[in-house]
Amino acid sequence: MTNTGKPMCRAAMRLLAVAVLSAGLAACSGMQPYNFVAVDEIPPGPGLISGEAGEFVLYRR
Amino acid sequence: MFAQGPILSATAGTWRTVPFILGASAALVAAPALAAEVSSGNNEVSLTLSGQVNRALLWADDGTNSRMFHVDNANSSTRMNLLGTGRLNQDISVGAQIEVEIQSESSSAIDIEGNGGTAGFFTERKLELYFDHNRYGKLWLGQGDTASNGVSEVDLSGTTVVAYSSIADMAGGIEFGGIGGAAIGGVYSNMDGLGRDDRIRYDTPSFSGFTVSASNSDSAKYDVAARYSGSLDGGMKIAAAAGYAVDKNDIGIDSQISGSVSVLFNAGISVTGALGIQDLEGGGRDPAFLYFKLGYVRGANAFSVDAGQAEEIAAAGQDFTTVGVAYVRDFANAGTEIYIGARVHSLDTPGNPDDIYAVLAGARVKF
Repeated sequence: MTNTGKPMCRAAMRLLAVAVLSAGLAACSGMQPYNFVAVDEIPPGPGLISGEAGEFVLYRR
Repeated sequence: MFAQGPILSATAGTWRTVPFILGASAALVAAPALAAEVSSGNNEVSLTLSGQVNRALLWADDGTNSRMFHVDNANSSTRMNLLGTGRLNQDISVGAQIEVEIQSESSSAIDIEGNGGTAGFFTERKLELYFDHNRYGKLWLGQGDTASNGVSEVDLSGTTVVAYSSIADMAGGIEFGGIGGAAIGGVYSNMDGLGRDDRIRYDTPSFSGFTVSASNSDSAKYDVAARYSGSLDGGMKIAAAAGYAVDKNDIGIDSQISGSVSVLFNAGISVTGALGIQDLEGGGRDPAFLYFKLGYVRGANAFSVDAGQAEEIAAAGQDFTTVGVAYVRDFANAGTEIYIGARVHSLDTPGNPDDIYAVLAGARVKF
């Protein structure tokens, strides 16, 4: 089988460069920061039992 | 579980000391009301509990055998999180976090005979503490996300509970050609940085949505990453991340570059892409992956189609491809999502094994 890894690597590098440049342009075009939550985190928002808070406050002072 | 010491009274802004022991059930029932009355910014310390259960039915067909399993959805596993936070002074907050997952029959590990899916009762995810300075950034210590963890998984489609770049989370233990063959999780990787590990990590403060992070797990395992997230007038959103990682311990990665970007437009359409390449010690293979997703969110409904390709992850000349569809219905006020996703996996390798088909349907309930 033909080794297609290297062409794919080059394509990947180009795409990565485009993504980085796009993000840079976005940052300079009036975008406001917001808190992105990673996909492997417990999602933000209400919980079934905890309600709007989305978490139980066990202790607070 | 017992709550001890002072606890906030039902009257906002006042404090009282309750008897030493408070039953866990009473604390949990009272918690939402208490949380609703707490005004942020005036609290010195807190301890919170959160978590979710994510169970599903997985159907898989490897071309010879076809079976259905009851699984824990590894796209977003069943877990619990305890987070304690406080302040050292006006500028520095401190936190400690314990997060464990509890997976009975993980969808990413179970094989076609139903074996291998349960690793143990509690599996560590995060056992860490941090110091967060208003101006100088955040320092982490302990088991948790390395700087580059998540750089390949930026996704604004709304369907990540069942489909994102880590496609092996759906049926990663199913093997091409039956038991003994190459598992999906062995021939595909989204090269998501260095995952979670025991490490020290530093994050810069956010500069116009940009942050830069670095972490070190040991002298042969370290990484750096950059992230951006921005929103245009609360409408269109962009998130992106890229990372560089070295791991000479486990599989001899001289270097790994990976990243992802996702854009959610006002109309509800989202476009997501991820990619990565590795340079291995000794050469011989050029592992790489690409992933693309098109999504659409309308109200509480999210749809997506995606495709991925991975080359030479396990062996030279090997080429893996996958195509999938996903649907998620979000009952946000109840902390509940129901979902279904389907995927076909193909492996181009000597022997030309049959494609693997998988369907995952279930629900995630955040409690």
